[in-house]
Amino acid sequence: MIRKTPPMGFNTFNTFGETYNEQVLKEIADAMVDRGFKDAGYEYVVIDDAWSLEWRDEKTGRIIPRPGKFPNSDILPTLNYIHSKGLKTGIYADVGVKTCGTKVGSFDYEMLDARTFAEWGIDYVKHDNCLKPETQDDEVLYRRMGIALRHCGREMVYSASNWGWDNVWTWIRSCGAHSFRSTGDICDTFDSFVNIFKSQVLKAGMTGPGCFNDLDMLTVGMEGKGNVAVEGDSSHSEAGYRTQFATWCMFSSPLIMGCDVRNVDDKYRDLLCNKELIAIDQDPEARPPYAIAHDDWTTYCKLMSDGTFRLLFINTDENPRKMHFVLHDIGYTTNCGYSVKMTDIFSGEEFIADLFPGVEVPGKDCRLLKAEFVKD
Amino acid sequence: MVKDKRLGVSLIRSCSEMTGKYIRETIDNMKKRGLTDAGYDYLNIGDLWMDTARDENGKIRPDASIFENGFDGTVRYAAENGIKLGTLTSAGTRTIHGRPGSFDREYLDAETLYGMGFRYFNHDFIYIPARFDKTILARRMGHAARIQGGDFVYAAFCDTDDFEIRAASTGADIYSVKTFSGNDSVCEPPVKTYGFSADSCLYYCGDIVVGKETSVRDIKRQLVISAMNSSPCNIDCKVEELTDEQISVLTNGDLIGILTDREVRPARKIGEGITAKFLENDRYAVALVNDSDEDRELTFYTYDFGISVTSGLKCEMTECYTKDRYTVEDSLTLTVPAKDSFVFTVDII
Repeated sequence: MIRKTPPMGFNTFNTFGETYNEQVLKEIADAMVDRGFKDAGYEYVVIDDAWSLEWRDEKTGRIIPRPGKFPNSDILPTLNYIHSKGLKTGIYADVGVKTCGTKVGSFDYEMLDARTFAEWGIDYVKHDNCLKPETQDDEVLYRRMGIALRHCGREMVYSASNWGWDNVWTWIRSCGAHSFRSTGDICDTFDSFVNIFKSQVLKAGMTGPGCFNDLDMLTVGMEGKGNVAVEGDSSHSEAGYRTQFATWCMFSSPLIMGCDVRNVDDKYRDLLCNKELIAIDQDPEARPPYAIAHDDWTTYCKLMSDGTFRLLFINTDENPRKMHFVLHDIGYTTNCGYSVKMTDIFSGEEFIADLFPGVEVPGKDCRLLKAEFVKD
Repeated sequence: MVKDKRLGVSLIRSCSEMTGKYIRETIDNMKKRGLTDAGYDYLNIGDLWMDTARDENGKIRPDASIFENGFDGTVRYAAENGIKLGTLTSAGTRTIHGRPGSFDREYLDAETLYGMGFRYFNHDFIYIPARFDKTILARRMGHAARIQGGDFVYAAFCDTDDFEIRAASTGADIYSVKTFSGNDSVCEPPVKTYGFSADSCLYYCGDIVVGKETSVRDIKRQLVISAMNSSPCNIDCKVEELTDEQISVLTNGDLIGILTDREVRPARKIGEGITAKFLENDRYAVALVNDSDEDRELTFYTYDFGISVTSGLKCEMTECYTKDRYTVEDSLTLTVPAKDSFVFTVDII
């Protein structure tokens, strides 16, 4: 399966941890459709850890869905319901003998589990990295599941989640994965997402069509509620979430929502469904952004397939500040014969750039501009 | 992003006397010898077609003395025969053969070359002012080429540190971490373990220079390197002098299929002399390459490939040239002759 653009969907972990069940998942699916997420491109409903029991069926060796979450240990009604809404299903697996939540892992059962998922109609597998034998090579284990998923009888998105261990970006593409995590888990704090994307700037060049660097599930809209909230932290804000979403889109990261889509505030629903931002994420060439470093701030620039640029200014300070860049740093030349038209993605304001365009960026916020060369 | 920017012929090293007539003859020979049928549809005519001076408007212009029917006639002939013309340019002040370089004229030159009918250019990072940042030059030309048309293929040959991390962000469709002119351009596997490549920006392993004396074994080895790394393949040669045996190696359908595979997943070294690559349609390629001067036994293990004992899977392997077939449960050991290679398409059963 060739995955040309980053996957978009929802995952249970950030909000629910292990506390979801069939009813919650059906409500999630309803909300994905009723609140416009599906229309915006979000298609996967991924059931994270703890959907299964701690042991396998003695006779068949198959994983058993947890009866406390799925009546009669039957997950099919849930999966079929998700499909009936025009959405796609996703599930969680692990390279090790146990999952991170100590449920059944897929070590040495990759083919059986892949076939089981195929029979159930799964469309997406998140493959985590807990509790593997220390003597086992991550690359071999991820390649195993890559092969298993390719030969199980159903096409599935393969989302590798090994948190960046063993320089994953150097080999994961060769294992058949469609996305890869390269950091530890995100929390619902401003610093958490900033640290994540900053750690990936120099690795952004390792992403591209077919296999995308996954900056982790979004915390946009969580507002301190849920499984990855940090007690006592109040750093989340509308501006911060706006900055997180804009950054994820600039990096062509998979957009996997972590908020409770049933009741996330409308303003965050609107942000997550912003067509212009999603178009940056889903650009068919998925060229990585590059940093234009200044003395004490950084502008990120991404070349789009249509020849325009997107420029992201991120202010991690408390106070507002003026940020600017020099046009020549994005490839402009004095004699090129073009003017540069700038458009603020959020406000819609347009202006013709001088050689040193600047924007006022509020504290812990961002500005996102489109730059288009227009023939003189 | 151009989907089919993978196979071509280059006259840069092999032809020291460029004429419009020779270009047309080369196009005829590409068709007659079966190269175009095999997918070779780019022809890079280097920089010798250029006049040594720009015109009164500062534009690059053809050397009129070598195009008896006019340069436009040559371009038309290429287009009529389904051949996309390429050229060699320089990011610096001059090209390797002293033709005008594009330094500080990127937008003008991109517009000029595209308007002339070129659809591909090797942009060589040579003769660059010592204090100028090459990455900026790469971005300039990347954008300049892009705004001409989505079918203008920009290959950046830039030797800055970590260019493999920066290349895609500059707009390059193809990149090399060496300059074009500053090395023998022998096709070699990536120096670093990943040689990052994706559909929108392909890693270039190097030209395959083929002369009368170039052994079939050597051509095959370099083609295997290109194929396993999804590298565009440019054969620098005089097409009329290629032997039938050389043509046969260059037009092997299975190997070209591996090279042009749309998943563009990189090959990965999984053992001594063994690389493996995932292909579309759930197929794979495995290469056994012996770079030593003596025959060697090389062993492919299905475990390293990613097949566990518990999976119940086996590999059915077919060699691309000999068509020898093997069904492999756990390992396959073959004696690979010195400087030779075996490359297999693999189906999982």
